[in-house]
Amino acid sequence: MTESGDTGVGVGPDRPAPPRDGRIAELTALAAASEIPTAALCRDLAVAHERAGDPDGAVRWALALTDTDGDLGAWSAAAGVLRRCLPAVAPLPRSARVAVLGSYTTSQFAALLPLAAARAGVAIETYECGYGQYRQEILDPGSGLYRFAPDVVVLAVHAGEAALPAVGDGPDAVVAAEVRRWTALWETIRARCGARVVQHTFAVPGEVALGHLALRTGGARPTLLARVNAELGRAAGDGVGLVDCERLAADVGKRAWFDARYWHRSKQAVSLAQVPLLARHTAAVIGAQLGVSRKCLVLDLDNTLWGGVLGEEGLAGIALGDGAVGEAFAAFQDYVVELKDRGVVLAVCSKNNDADAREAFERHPGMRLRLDDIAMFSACWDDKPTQVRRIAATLGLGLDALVFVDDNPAEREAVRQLVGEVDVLALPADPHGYVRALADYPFFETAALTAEDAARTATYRARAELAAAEAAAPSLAEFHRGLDMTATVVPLDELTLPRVAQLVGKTNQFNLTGRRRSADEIARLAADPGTAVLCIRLADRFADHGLVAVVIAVEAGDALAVDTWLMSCRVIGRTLEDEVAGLILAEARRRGLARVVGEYRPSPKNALVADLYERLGFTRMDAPDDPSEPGTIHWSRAADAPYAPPALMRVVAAAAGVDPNGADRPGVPPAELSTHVFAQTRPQDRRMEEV
Amino acid sequence: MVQDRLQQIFREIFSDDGLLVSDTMTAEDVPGWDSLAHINLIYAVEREFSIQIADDRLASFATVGDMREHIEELSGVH
Repeated sequence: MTESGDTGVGVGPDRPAPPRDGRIAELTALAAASEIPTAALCRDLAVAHERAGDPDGAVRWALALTDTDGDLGAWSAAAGVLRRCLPAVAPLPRSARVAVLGSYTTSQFAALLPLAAARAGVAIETYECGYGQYRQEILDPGSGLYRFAPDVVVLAVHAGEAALPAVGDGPDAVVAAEVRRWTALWETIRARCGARVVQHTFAVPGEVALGHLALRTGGARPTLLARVNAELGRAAGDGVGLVDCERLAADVGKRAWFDARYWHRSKQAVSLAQVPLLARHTAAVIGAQLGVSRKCLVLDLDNTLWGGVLGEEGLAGIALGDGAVGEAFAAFQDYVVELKDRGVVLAVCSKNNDADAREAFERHPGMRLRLDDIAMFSACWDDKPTQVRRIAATLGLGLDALVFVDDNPAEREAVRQLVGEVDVLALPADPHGYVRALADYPFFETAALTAEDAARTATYRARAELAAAEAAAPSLAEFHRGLDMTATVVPLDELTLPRVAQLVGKTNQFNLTGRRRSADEIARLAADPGTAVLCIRLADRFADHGLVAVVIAVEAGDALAVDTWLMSCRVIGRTLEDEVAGLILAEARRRGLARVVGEYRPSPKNALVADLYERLGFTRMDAPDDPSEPGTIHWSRAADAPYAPPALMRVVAAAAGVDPNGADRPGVPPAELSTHVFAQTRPQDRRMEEV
Repeated sequence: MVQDRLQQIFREIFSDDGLLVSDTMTAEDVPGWDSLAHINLIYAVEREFSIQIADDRLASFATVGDMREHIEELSGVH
């Protein structure tokens, strides 16, 4: 299925927002401080944008609120903003007239449904029947329901409405009769107005007088209710969708789903705390009935499908399958396979060498996903927004069909900002929570499961092989500026040496010379006054990436010769290398040297940096081939020739007495600091940090 | 303190960002304060202050001030 790519309302927060007044600027700054703003902040931003006469901003923030854990009050406020502002913004992909027919007090549900539906891409107008009047409205051809001419009828009914005895004789007949009562209503609706039906299934009450005996008693009410739910599922054909309230209730807990006080006070059969959840899932099923579900899951690799960074740890070093962390990633992959089998198209979007990434799929014994599960495999060093656009164009999908999953908050933010139509799923820091995060996302819902669903990825893969279309790359400079990056030059000392040695020992891709040296060797080399060592940390507003780049250069004649230059995978593509080049040139000038000489020694993994020196304005030297180092290329650049790095980050030198591993720790004895460093560089921790 | 939090609740429930609550305010004074809004309000108050208001007390509130005093009594917040 192909969708237009530009009709979706971006549901992500609009950062940076145009500051229309001081209030918006102040709130936007607060929102920028965390990746997912709180419900209260989303509400305040929606209200502030509405006040400032910016309906687009107001709607965006109202919709963003639905992805938080906002309660009834926050949702009510956002629903009010949406009601007033939606007419003034670009139309949503679909619109529909939705009748809510309830067996209990459904006014809160009906009031929140338009907000939830807009999040799913459907602008709805609602009609609500009188309290408990659902059956009369359906049966009376002249009722308000039919005058409203609905596209969708939601049967918001509760377990009390099922006419089942406490303990019934002949349970088969009782169940069949009850199911028939409901399917007859569906048929009447379908026949009279052609509307689609979305029915809530019955949440089986948690209070069971028969106790555990109920399960052994075929005619017991809880047993009958469970059977009715199952039979309704079997009976629902074309044009009928179910919202599995029994599952939702079990998931949040039956005690949280039903609150007797509010049932007796005002006939709330669903606790008011759970009405937003019910509205969200009902909206997903309505969206599925109208064909606006999301269709493609775009997956990062490192620390998303497996633990660790493939380019640094190697195939044997990634966590997948074995150990608690490895099992968490394997479980996530298993869940993704299930999504694929239900028709969700899978794509990979990774910053990796293509061949290395494919090798992991082909050779790692812990991999659950296979290469032919992936419709489009995008592993390269382009920024993720560019890759995501290319994936959508190649697969012939609208951007509003994509859901992007990445463990790295900065990548998520880049996609949110630059490809707003894509839904971005924030994975928790702990991989054990990945399956839950994906399972809580309701917008992959489809109306029916067909044989084509399981084969859909194959269809899209074929399309990807044919397509050559490529979307225009967005400008990244603005995004990089918004990341608020700071590169800090820190001294090589007993605190930084372990991390430097670790990087020297394992960095493969961004590594110009691939020289492996032990900590002792590095320390000896650095002690020579003719040696310059640059250690650089990088932080942005999401994360402190720690010490990520190392340069070792030695004086050689009139030149500063770069012996080692490497950078961690996780900060590739952020222009840090351009700033580091500026630091190397400055170091040469400081030492009164005329030139900087660089070398590139090719390895199976470092093709990424083959052109680095050329790009930085170095000239290739006509040095005779050294037979001991075939393929090595030397480069030279005058130290005082003009050089202008992109300047998308601050570059500073660490003040003396500052702990390079983070906080200021004046007065802490070195021994204690060393322990602190050791604690931070245990292999397991470090691996999980290599994002 | 209770007054500020109450005001925020009222603004959410009645979707009116400029609403100002006072002790003497009654349901008559606020457009849209019907039985449904009343339930939403009580629910939001119980949730915000982690309290449960008994049904007989619920019926006895004549003004917002009555409600505020009862909230302070139950929650210990002032």
